[in-house]
Formats: sequence, structure tokens, C-alpha cells
Amino acid sequence: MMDDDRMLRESLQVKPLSAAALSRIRAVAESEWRANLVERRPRRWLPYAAAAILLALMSAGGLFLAGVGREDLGEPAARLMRSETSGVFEVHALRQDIPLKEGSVVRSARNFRVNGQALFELEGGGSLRVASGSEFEIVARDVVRLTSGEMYVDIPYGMHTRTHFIVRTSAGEFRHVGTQFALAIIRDETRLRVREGSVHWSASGGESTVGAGTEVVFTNSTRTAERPIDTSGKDWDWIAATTPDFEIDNRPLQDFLEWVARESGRKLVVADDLAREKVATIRMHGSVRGLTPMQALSAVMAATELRYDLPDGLIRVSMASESTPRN
Amino acid sequence: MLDERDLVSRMRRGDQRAFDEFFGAYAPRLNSFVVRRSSLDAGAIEDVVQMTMINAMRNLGSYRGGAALFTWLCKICRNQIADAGRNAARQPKAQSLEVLATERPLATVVELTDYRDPLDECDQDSARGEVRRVLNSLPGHYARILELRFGDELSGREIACTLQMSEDAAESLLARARQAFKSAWTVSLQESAS
Repeated sequence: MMDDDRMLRESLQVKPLSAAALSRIRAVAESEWRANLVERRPRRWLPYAAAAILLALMSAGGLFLAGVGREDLGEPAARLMRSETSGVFEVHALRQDIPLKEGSVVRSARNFRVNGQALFELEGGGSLRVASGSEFEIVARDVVRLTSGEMYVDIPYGMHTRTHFIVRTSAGEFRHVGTQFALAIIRDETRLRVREGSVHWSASGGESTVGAGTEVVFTNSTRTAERPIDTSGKDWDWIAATTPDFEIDNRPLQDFLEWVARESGRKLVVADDLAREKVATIRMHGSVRGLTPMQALSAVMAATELRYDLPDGLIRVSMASESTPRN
Repeated sequence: MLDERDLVSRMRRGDQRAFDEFFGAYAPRLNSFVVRRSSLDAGAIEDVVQMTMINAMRNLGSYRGGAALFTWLCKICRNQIADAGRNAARQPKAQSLEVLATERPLATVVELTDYRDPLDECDQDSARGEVRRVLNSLPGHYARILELRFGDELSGREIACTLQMSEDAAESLLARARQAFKSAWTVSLQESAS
């Protein structure tokens, strides 16, 4: 019989964190440690900083008057991938707003007005979809401030520990923890809807982590209301118009189905072994560019021996010969 | 061994070596703490440890040395585990219909009583589960010292520091805890045999 000490050891010892995981956590913790140190340091540097700011303002003023160099200021934060015809504008206080072309790199320390729904690819990984009528500022590469309207942040699971994306509103700071979430400014309130993963909110009024399938309303910096929500359905329909393109050519059907499931907030269910084998082995050819995820699903599945239906919260895939009626 | 108040004080002054010591000493132990108290997947566990570290860095100034540093970290960590558990319960996952149909019952929920964590779950794995059930039937301070000794592999001195008692008292408590476990385990074996 196993001795008690050995039994306790085997029962209580656990698999350690991988070196990669430990390194990711360390990078985040160290950056947080440094950020908090900076805030606590005595402000002996204040006069020097004021002088530096004055100099910077003078230089910026000179550049402005000369009309050169402005486009190179600030760090690249994202790229505009797509927008509806009314477009996206870089907002300027003292001169005309500049319309952005698709493919333009947007930089930090700038303000933007979105007249037609837009998709941005973030430099740090993931994407940002911004609703028509929204205004936001890119504060730094991984930090944006939403001042009006609505935005949808999508940091895919594989990137979530590398990317430290933050959205700020008057209600505080929203930091993703492997996430799809939408933030909207509605009058004086901020509405957070978390679709996948979780979002850490912090403000002077408190802090908490909000999980998937939850809507929370914040007034000023206080959490005022919470309710469960569906992760699929009409609340999320607006984002389908600016879904990032998915290249299907020579990729397995499984990748495509997982993409549709994630974009639609549904759970993917494969009915049986034969269907599962088909999903894993079928490779696709062609393109679904310009289609919404659901239009693309319909088009792709029509070319296979498989069928799908959409019961509540699911995409269910089975062999076409089965008798369940098609949606 | 770490002088915890000094360590925190040096970290607050921006001492890189202090941060390195802190991270090296506590990140792996936090991981073990989370794994023993949840049935979260590897990604979620990593998130919990990461969020605990972030919150610890933000609140380093509130650590006064009244409790052991690891106890203070565990307090932060427990809130993160609870949040992650709630999130995991709501999180949709791709799953086959066959698996859904034959889904196993939920893992048994047991509690390491000293921590009183609501999410303290154990595997279906019967031996490991049974040992943890027996541990949870012991007085909390016994369960905790056994966890520190056999789970975290701490020395007598480290255990004494964590539990804020003398080394002699820690050794004595450990001996009583082992004896209590032995007795409870024997009873458990007899019950399962009958």
C-alpha cells in the first residue's frame, strides 16, 4: 500500500505552469508593477516635464504651421481595413477633418469620427469594429477612449495573453481577458456586453471582472445594473457588416465552421462520427469575401454532403442524409 | 528565506531584483493554489494567476505585513477564481452532441475548510478525489499545513513563516495533522470496503 506522505504528495502536487505561460504572466505583472511605480514616484521631475511639454508644443506648433511631419507623429496603432461609404475621419480642431482610405494606418494621440461602420485591425493583434456615429481617441497603441457610440473588441483566444488592449470611457477602464465584447456610450452611461472570455473593469468606484453572457451598465464610475444576455442574436447583428474576411481557400471546413461559430456567438456541435470526419477532412476552395458569416455558412455548406441547422445558440452540423428539417 | 515586508518595501521602491524574487517565489505557488481549487482549463488558470498578479501590483501599497504575503495573495486569488468559475459556467464551448448526451455528472465539490473556497473541486479521479475529501474532513489548519508541506513542498521554516508561528509549533502541528490524516484515511478505507 502507498504510504501516506507519498499519497498526499501525489494528490496535492499539480502540473506547473509552462515556461511560456510563466513568461507571459511575468511580462504583464512586471508592466503593471512599473506602471504603478511611475504613479507613486515623487514629482521632482514636474518642472522639467513642464519645460519639455512646452518645448514639444512649440515644436508641434512649428510643424503644424509648416504643414509637414504631422502624419508621422504618434505610434501606429491600427489599420483601417474596411468602412461603409460615409467613411472614417481623423478629427482636427483647427483644420479640416481628414477622410481615411481603406488600408490607412491610424496612429496614437488622434481623434476619429466614424460616419460609416468601420473595421480596424489592431497592431497588437485582434480587431476593433466601430459603429456608425461613434467618436473615439487612440490614446496609445493598446489604449482607446470611446467618447460616443459603440465599439466591438475582438481579441482571439490565442492572442489574449500577448495583447493588453484597454478601452476607456467616462465609466472607467475596460481591460480584455481573452475576449469579444461591445462597449456603448448611451447618454451618460456606459454599457458593456461580454460575448466571450471576460473583461476586467476598474474605476475609482470599484473593480470587477465581467464574464461572457453578461451585460453591465455603468453610470459614471459605478456599476449600476447587470443582466444575463444571449451571446448570439440581434444584439450582435450590427457587427456582421464589418466581419474581418476569412480566407477559405485550401483550408479545412472545421476552421471555417469554428470561425462562423465564433463570429455568430454560437456553439458548434457536430452530430456524429461521420460528420465529424467530413468536417475535419473537407478542404474548401474559392472565396466568401463580402458575405456575412451566416451567408458564407449557407454558401459553403451547400457545396458539401453536410447540412446545418441553427437551434437555440448552436450551429449543428450533420450528414445531409439525416431527416431533421433544414433551417 | 524572504523577509516579506522588506521585499514589498523594496518592490515599492522600484527594485528590479525584489520584483524578480517576488515573482519567482509566488507565481508558481499561486498556480498550484488555483489548480487545487478549481476545475478550470489551462488558459483560464493562466488568466486567474495573471489577474491576481495584476491586482497585487496595483494594491501593493495596501500590504501591511499583518498576514503572510502568500496569504494576502491567496485572498486576491480567491476572488479571481470565483469570477473565473462563474465565467466558465457561462462560456459556450464546441462540443459533440454525443458528448452532450453522455455528459458526466459535475465534479464533486469539496472544500479545503481552512480556505472555505466555494469552488474547491476535485477530479473524478477517485484516489485523488478521495484523498482531498479526507483532507477536507480534517480541521482546516490541518488541511492547510498538509497542503503547504506536501503540495507546495515548503520546508518547516517556510511553513512557519507562512502560518506565522514558530518552527517548533509548525513541526508539531504538522505531526498532528499527519496523524489525523492517517486516522481519517483508515476510516475512509474501512467505509468504502464495507
